[in-house]
Amino acid sequence: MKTGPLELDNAILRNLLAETTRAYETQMAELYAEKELAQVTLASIGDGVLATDEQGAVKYLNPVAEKLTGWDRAEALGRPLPEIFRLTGQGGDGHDVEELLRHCLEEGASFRLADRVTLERRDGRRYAIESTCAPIRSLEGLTVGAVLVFQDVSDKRLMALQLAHQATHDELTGLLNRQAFDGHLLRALDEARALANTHALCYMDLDQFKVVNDTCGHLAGDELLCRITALLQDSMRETDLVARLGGDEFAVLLARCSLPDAERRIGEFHRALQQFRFTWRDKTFTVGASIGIVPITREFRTVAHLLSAADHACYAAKDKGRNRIQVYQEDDATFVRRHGEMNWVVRIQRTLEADRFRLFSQQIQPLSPNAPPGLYFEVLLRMVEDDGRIHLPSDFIRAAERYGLMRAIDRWVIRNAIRTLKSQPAPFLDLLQLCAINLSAVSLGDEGFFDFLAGELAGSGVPPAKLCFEITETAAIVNLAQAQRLMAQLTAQGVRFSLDDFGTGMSSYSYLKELPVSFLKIDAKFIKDIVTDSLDRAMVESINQVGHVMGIQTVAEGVASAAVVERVKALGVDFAQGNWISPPRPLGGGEAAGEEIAPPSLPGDIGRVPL
Amino acid sequence: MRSRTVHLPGGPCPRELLLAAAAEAGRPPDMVLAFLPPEEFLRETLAALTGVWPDALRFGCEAVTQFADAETTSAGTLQLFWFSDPRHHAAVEVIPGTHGEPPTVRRIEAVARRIAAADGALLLVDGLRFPVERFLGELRRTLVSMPPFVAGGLASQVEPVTQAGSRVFIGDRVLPSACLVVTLHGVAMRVEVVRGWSPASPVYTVTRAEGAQVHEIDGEPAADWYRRFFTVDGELAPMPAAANRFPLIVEGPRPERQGLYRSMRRFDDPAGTVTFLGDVETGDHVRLGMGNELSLLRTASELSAGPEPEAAILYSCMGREAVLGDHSGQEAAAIRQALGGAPLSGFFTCGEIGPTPRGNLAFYNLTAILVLLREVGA
Repeated sequence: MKTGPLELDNAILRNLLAETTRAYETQMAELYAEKELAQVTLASIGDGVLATDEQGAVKYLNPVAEKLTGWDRAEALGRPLPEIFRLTGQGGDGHDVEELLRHCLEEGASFRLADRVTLERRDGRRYAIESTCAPIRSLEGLTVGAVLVFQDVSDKRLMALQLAHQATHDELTGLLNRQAFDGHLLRALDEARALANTHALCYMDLDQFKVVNDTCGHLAGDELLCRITALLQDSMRETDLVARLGGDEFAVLLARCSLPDAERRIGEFHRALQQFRFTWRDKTFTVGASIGIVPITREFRTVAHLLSAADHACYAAKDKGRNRIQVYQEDDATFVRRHGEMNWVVRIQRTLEADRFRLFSQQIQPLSPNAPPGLYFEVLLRMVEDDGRIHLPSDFIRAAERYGLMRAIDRWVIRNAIRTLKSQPAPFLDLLQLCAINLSAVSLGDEGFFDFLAGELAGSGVPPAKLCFEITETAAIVNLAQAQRLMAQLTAQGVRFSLDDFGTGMSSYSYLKELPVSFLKIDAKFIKDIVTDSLDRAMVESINQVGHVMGIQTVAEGVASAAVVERVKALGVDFAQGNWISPPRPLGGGEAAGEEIAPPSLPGDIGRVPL
Repeated sequence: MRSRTVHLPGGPCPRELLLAAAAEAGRPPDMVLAFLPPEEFLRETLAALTGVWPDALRFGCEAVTQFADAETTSAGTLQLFWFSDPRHHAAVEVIPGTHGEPPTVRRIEAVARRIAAADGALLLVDGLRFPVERFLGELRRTLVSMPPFVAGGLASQVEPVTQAGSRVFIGDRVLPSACLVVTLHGVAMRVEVVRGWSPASPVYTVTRAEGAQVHEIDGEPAADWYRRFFTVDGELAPMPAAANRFPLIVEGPRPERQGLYRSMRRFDDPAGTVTFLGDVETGDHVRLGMGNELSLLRTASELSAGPEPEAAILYSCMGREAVLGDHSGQEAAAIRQALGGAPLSGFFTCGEIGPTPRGNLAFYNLTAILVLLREVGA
């Protein structure tokens, strides 16, 4: 190396400079690539991105931000953010964009805009957006601008609204559902307590809905509900809230409405309903409604209490003959009785839990010499309370039906009846010809009943053919299709059915064709005076003849004397049942021995009980 | 504090010269700091000092080139100190040679306690045989807060270095492989780190290093990395002489390593590694600096004197001596002038000890550590 120290140093410095230049160029290339990548990324992402300088003037918009704001980048650059990013909803914490931006730039705070913010595009079109804003900081930590990231969430928000609507509204009618209505009732109740405002609650139950549903099908039922909904909405003010609580039950919250006003308004609706005719194909129906009205006052402690009062009023309307309006009055005899039913509910539940129901039986006497010899009886139910008092079904069945306890009672009776039959010494089951058990409408419509009965009979040794379920016309037509299905299934197993209380309900002979029954039990009211009343005699004769024509055997209920027995026997009735023949006695207490044990507490037993 | 330097004539030290040096003070000095040329007359000189000032605290180290006020010499330099306040004093603790291992933790803790109780501390170290960087590392860990008034230098030796290393001494005892810790009491001490180098390359990362040996920089063999810069017209410049003017500067990222300089010592061909006069750590961000005699002298002359010192000690790196070349005598003179003419001694070291900008204690190459002393209450 021939160079001197200075030249050598200069040469080394040139090397260093070249290296520095190369490194600088590399860094610049990397920075450029990073910038390109950042720009491509910003241009590609689905979110709008908008950046400002430290004064809040727009410095950058990506294409999505251009689309959502309606501003071209070239036009937007340098303009104040609030001019480009115009919110028509409420900003975070109720501030406007300008204030939020200042908060971000001056205090370096990030924030998220509230959920219900709407961005107004330059052409006036609006987008629901979600947005966050954060300060941009220099390497030294100074705030040099702000960046907004926002998304068009119009679809998402619409979907959320739809979901919220679905959660609070009835799908068929579009009315408020039970849950949402309860919320409104709660607010009305609070308001009544706090401000002494007067509101009214109307609760209604359609009277003919099941008939329409059963005779014309579910589509017709749905259409009827929609028509009633329209009628109801037309009759109410915009401030009134109409809800479908389920099935054919509707409710209306009449806001700031005195009781007389509510009665007048609901009365108008009721009159309109009277005029209304529902036509489905070739059938036309009139539709009635049992309506209860309750003034919403501070005396009601809870929504449940309020709804219960409305339900009571509606029930009272039904009780008085249906298709009428009943205003709730706490001391009214109907409401008192209804209140009594509520007490029964607790007592029934307690009796079920403590297993204190007891089964009795009442003999059914064959009148025809051709009847196979053996035991024929009906199983009867008694409730024994804590203090030993015994109650007839007539005391508590109404409450049990009303408050959904029949399913549990039916199952208790069947389970215990089969156990008792099973436990009797031979040749009890061989002698047994017929064990009749009452079955409620609820169990007839219970899709799980068949499996339940099969489970109870399995291994019991009790042949299904020994059982006969007693049903009423009314129970059968509540859900005719399901009742027919169940009866067909059980009949196929050998179980028989009898139609109870025949003559008291609609007594439509046409139902006899629809229902596979083996026995008709002629109601006691036709039997008790049959010796002296020719009309009763004619009725019994008629029923007996129709039954026999259809291959159905008949049973005279409530037989109270030898003369009655003679009379019904003369008319050709197949069986007789009543206290004169045999008073009720505990089931399993000697049916086979013919022992007659009348419970001392039942002197007035009339021989016919619902179960 | 009174202080004066004595420029020794070379050869056996004349007793009269020593007596004359102390005559003006009218009493023997309280402390004698000696930077003496290695080997030949070392023991005779120490014996002379013992004979003349048996009660003075006498200590120092071997040094090839010494400073005596504005002059640079190779014949040896003394600096005499008289404390005005009899309560003020100095004390020396000897950390003997440990065969390359740092002193025990207990010993270092004892040293740290003494330093913490003093107003300042000077370190004189056998830089060739005493593990100074590991010692400083332990001392840093032991001292809760590192005061900026610890400074010193590594004794130097003529090439080739003998087995004896570069020795320190106290009284007339010469100690190989040892370290002297001189604690000052009643003396305000200020330390300046004189640099004079400018950044000259981009920043790189040391990707593999062990102790003073660097294997890779930015994934490239360290020797190749060096050659890229130091190859001129297809030939490698004379190393390490050329590299002295382009020191390795540590830029972090660890704050305590920021601002350190390292002299390249040699290529380790064929291993492809480069050895420095001080540790370089994997992960250090480094760049090459540049400087020459002008930049070094300008930096020296621009020193701020501050409160006028009563005495100054200068530990300047031998690498700077090489860069200064014919002007090596001018650095001490420039510094002394900037200080206002305070008595100054010192030497060209094999490495310097001083504070970093963030207050840590560090081992340097290619700096000049200037210690300024002033007795408290003077």
